[in-house]
Amino acid sequence: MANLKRTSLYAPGTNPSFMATVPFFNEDCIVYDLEDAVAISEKDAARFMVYNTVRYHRPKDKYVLIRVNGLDSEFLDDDLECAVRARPDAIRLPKVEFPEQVKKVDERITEIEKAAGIEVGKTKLWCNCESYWGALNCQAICEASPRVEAMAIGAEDYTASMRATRTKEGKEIEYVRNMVLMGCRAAGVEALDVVFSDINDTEGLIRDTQYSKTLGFDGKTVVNPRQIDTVNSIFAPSAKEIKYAKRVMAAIEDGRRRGVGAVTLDGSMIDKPMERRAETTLAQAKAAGIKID
Amino acid sequence: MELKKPAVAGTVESCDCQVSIFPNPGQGLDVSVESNVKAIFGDSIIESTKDELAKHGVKDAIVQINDKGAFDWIIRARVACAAYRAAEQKFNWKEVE
Amino acid sequence: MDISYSRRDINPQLSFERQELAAFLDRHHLRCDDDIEFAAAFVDDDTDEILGCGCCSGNILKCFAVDEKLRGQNLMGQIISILVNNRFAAGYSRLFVYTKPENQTLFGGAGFFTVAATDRVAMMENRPKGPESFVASVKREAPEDALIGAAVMNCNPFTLGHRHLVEYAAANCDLLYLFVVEEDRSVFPFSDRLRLVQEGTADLPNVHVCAGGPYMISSATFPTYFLKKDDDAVAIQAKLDLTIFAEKIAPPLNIRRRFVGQEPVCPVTSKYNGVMKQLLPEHGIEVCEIPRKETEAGIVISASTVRECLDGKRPDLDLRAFVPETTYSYLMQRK
Repeated sequence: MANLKRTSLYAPGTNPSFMATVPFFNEDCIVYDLEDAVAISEKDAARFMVYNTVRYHRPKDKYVLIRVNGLDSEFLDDDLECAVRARPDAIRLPKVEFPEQVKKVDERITEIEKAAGIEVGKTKLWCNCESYWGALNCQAICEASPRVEAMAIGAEDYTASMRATRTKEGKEIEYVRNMVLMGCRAAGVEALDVVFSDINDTEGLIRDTQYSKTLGFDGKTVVNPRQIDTVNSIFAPSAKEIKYAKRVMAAIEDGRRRGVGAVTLDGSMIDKPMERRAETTLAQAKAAGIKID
Repeated sequence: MELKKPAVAGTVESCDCQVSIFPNPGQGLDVSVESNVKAIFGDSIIESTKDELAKHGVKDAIVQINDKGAFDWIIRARVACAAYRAAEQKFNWKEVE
Repeated sequence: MDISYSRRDINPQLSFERQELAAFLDRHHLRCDDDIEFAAAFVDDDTDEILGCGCCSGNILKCFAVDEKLRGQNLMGQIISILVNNRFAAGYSRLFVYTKPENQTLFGGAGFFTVAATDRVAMMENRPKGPESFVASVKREAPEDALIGAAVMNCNPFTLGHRHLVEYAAANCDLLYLFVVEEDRSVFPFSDRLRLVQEGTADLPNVHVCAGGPYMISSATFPTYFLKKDDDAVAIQAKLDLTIFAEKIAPPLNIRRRFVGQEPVCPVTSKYNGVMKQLLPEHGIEVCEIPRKETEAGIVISASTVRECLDGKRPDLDLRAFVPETTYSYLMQRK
């Protein structure tokens, strides 16, 4: 859990000026896109561009993803052949609805990894939950392959599938947010929240991101580089959280040294989830460049 | 790889390049470049173009590159894409290392 | 605040799309030509209004406009790129732009090269040295001191009137370049027209029949979208066409005399001839205007009369009096 996933920024696979710029923003993850941002007639071009960029111009210290086309699209096979060989950290799958889909992609990736001489299992997966099926099957999807590292919610398509109306306030996505979070936590993968689309409304972004963090999300997809620093700062652990995490870890260490089974802090017992949470907080702080010691 | 028709790939937006490619049966490669930085990078753009075409087995082609400050690997991506479009073939990703 | 906008492809076959496009172009004082096949636009994400567009028809890109508020974002570059991709996909790889002369830098940056420019219009194309390679493809070797002439004809179809002009011209120069206009909007397809001219002049050894290439502009394909309502489109087109001839075609081929048929009827052609008589001598090219040939019955021979005969509009006339044998048998076979 050393790498942070506070912010993910999409770079359209046919936009070289943006692809050249993204490494210089502060986002944690870059998603080179072969899907929605690429016109049908440019799918071939996008593969060449993304392959060359990820393979030969890979940004240092970034988590690199490639978003492929839909699981039932005619482009998926070529996309996977190209994307796996480009050796990103992960492949982002859009509109995942059933665990069987993930299993199938997992098998394809394994074949390609073997053929290309890449260590099997190296290519991780992020699944996008963009419909009620995706939400209902969230946990099973996350557990369908050990490659799955995170699940992200795509609110536009989700609300469309629900015949709901997308609002800034977001009551219509309240349930899916919680549902995906629960599924992710149960499966032990990271949960990434919806985008905030109005790039001119900074206060709205702050409010929405603080709410994401309160719910328990690990990060958010951003639609514009201008949103990155705001979202990063909210998802970075606070000084108070870091202090508490350090005390938790110190108490555990102390207990271990003394051979005590049950460790307590401030009068309460430290359980496994608390320990994991403290580890996460410290890892996040470290990755965010916050001085811990 | 034999080119069957003229094709184009890329755009004239900044950091990109537009590659137009035309069949040139039996006449070898004819690569020309337009760029604001032609004086400095013109030769290397031509070299990359020829190298990329050779990688894909294109021996005969007229290629016009309108460069807008594209990085080398973007030029290569555009050249390869244009060549496969002109050859009316799909690139086989199993070929890359 | 940023305006967020997205690409939208416009299909002018849909009436509501066409109306929107026409209204946008009108605001920019541009006319929406009838023959637009495809338009690339960028629209405001909030209002869905068009913010910029460019159109195409056949191998011509035209009707470009970008709203003031989006200037400086190279929207035009994106539009041109989309259009070029669209045209290549539609099978057109040799593309042309007609635009105001001040836009040459803009299109130059987008990969277009100027063929020629007048005070009112510039013609550009997507390859360098186009006229040079055209000239190289038609050039006939001739002695230094040979008197070389040229005529440009549509020949839709080849008549005895054309034959008369060619005979006269061939007798009055050492080598005659006979350019047949290459545009596909004539009644008879270009390949047929070219063949009839070749057959009808085969006995004249110093006549070199060649395809007019893309540099003999027909008024049928000349886009006028950027002209004002009271502009004289014919004169502007004529000046461009003749400037290309005088600057790019005639000098490397050493053409010093241009032959043309007198035009007593059609105002468009007669205006074109007027511009020719003024412009070509400035470039040292002599213009020889030859009176139209008439039939024995005293009727002026013209290709349009021939087409009327074929349409059954002139039952009083005998086609044989208007066309050579080669054209006649072609027309009969075609029936």
